[in-house]
Amino acid sequence: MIWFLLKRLGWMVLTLWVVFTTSFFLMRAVPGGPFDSEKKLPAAIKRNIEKRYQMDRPLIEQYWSHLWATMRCDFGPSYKLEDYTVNDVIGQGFPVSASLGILAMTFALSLGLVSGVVSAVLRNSVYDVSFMVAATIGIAVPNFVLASLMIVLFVFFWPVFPAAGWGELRQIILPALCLGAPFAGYISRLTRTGMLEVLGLDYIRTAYAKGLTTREVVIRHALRGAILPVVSYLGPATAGILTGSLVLEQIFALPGMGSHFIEAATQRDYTLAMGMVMVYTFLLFVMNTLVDLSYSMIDPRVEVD
Amino acid sequence: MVTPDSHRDQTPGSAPQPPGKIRDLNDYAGLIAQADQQQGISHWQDARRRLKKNPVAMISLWYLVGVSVLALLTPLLPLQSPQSIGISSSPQSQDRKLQAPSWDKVEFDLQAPLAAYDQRVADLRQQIAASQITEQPELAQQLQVLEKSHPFRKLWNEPGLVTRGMIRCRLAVFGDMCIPSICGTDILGRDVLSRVLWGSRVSLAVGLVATLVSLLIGVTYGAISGYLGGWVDALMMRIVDVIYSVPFIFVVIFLITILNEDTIRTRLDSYGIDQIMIFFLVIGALYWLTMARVVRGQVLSLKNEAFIDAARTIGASRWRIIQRHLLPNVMGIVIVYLTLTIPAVMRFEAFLSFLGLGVSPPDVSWGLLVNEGLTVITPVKIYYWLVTFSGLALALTLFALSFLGDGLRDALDPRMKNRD
Repeated sequence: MIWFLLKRLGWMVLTLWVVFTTSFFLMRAVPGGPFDSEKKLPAAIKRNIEKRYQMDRPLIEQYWSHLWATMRCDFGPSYKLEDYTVNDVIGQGFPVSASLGILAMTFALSLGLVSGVVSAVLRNSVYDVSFMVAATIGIAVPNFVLASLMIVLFVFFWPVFPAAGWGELRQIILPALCLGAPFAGYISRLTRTGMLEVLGLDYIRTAYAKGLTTREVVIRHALRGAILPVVSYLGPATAGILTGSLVLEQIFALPGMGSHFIEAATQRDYTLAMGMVMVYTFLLFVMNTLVDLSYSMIDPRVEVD
Repeated sequence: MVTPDSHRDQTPGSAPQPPGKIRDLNDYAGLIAQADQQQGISHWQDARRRLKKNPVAMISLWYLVGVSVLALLTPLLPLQSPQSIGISSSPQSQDRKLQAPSWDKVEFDLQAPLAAYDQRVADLRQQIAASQITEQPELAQQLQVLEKSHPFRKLWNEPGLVTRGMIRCRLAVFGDMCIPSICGTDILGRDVLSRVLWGSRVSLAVGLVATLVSLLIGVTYGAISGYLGGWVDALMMRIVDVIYSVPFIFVVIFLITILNEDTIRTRLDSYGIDQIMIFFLVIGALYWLTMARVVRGQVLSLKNEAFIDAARTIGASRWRIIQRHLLPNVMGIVIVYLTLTIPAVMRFEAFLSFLGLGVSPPDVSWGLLVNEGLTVITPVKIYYWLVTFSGLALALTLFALSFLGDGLRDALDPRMKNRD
């Protein structure tokens, strides 16, 4: 267990280092530094400023000092936002994105699991068919198309939700639903397949034979065996939710990390974009590790190594 | 019951003969004739047969064929111009903005500017032919300047040579006639139907080309890794693992940001690489990871199969083994995976264009159109047709691709051979 975590930590450090190095040199390959603007600074002043920020040193020296700063989680000042360091921006955006992501994941899990179980138990019924059609639609339609249709429906035709903004629970429900929809579809299909497989096994027949009700059999016995593919899907799902949040925060004007990242990318705010990429990589790694750990907890046959 | 003795008593020549009883050359001939009569079903024939039995997959296939043909022939169709310029100068331009879908007839001046331009080019050419040699470079320069004001450039957004020829054909056949704005018009008065069709060209091309790039890299990488094995394989796969754990969409966005920097862009432009090309390469260069893993796995398991050993023992060269035995076996899984990659890439293109980081405005793609549709949604009035048609086109195509992928996966599954 400890060994597993240590190994994971090692891989994470390696990956983060690769990301850092690549983006650092890419950033420096772009002509024009942070102090270039429409108003040209006098050459001498620019030189002084660059000296102050150690930009006159050789590239490799800059690399080491940057690496050291990044290791202390200091991503430096933003290139474009006044008075903000990258850490400030991330600190402000993270709670918004995290609550959106967690809510979306909750939606995806609860909707997906319930509809998947119902579909499997009532196989070939109206519920089964309609759930599976809905799941396919949810998977195939890109989330921004879904979000735009949802806005047309639930904001304008039948105004139950506000169009945008941040602060109330009501404002986050619609984006979280749109964000979670494709994952709910996948989870639903995975649960259905897993349940159908498990329901035909001997131990389920034994459970029925000793007189348990369908509900007890399904919840206590079958679900536990059927849920494994879902758990292993949670890793990719997290990555997908991180990505999807970029678009949905943009559409619903949520002040999260995603919209900051897009802004950084379009405004060429390199330090901010780089810091964000590092944070996203870190998040993804942590989530994947958690998924692997939980996998071994649910299925006693699996041992982490 | 047939004993060995009763076999021997049978008169020769009475076809068909059971194998294992061959006495002279005539028996061989009979056997060969018998073998010729029997038609084996190849894996691919079997797969095609099974795919044909799957109605959903077949409908998807035909839909995709239809969309591709439409996209290819778009310049030949009597559509309105996908660009605003040229329309805005007409007197109707004011009322054409954000028009709801309608069957009202529309007319545009498309032929007249082209005829005028052709006249001017012809005049200038004549002048060049008649003039002194010393004047010719100057006149040739004038010709180049004139070329910049080609009416197609404004109306159809810098078409290539083939596209130009097709547009000329369309003008010759249909003249000024245009399909009415049955899908409405956008905020600048441009026809939505025409834009969706022109956008399909970019969206489908990105899907196909980027997937081919990823196919090339993935199959080569995976095959090399699997075939060589040992520490090379281990190293190559660890590299894939590291790249895998990077949330690469963010990296792509970061990359595209950097590649869009003006100086870098002009430098790339001078090599003839435009933005859409960058797009193909960057996406393709990042979607190969799963393909490489899949191919490697397949090659690893095939490498030690008996039929590969058999081929080697009869002296087949390494290249022949790869070509005749390895590749056809990898093909099935690669095709299935391709049908999954194309929608993923298209979705990604739409996603980036939607965010304003992908295809940029003079070009159109479906993601861009959905984005344009979203920006004009206001509480006061809903211009539903802007989002609906482009969103529908995108969603239906993705649907069809995923259904076709499912169908192909079932059809190409070798365990299902000769079954239904």
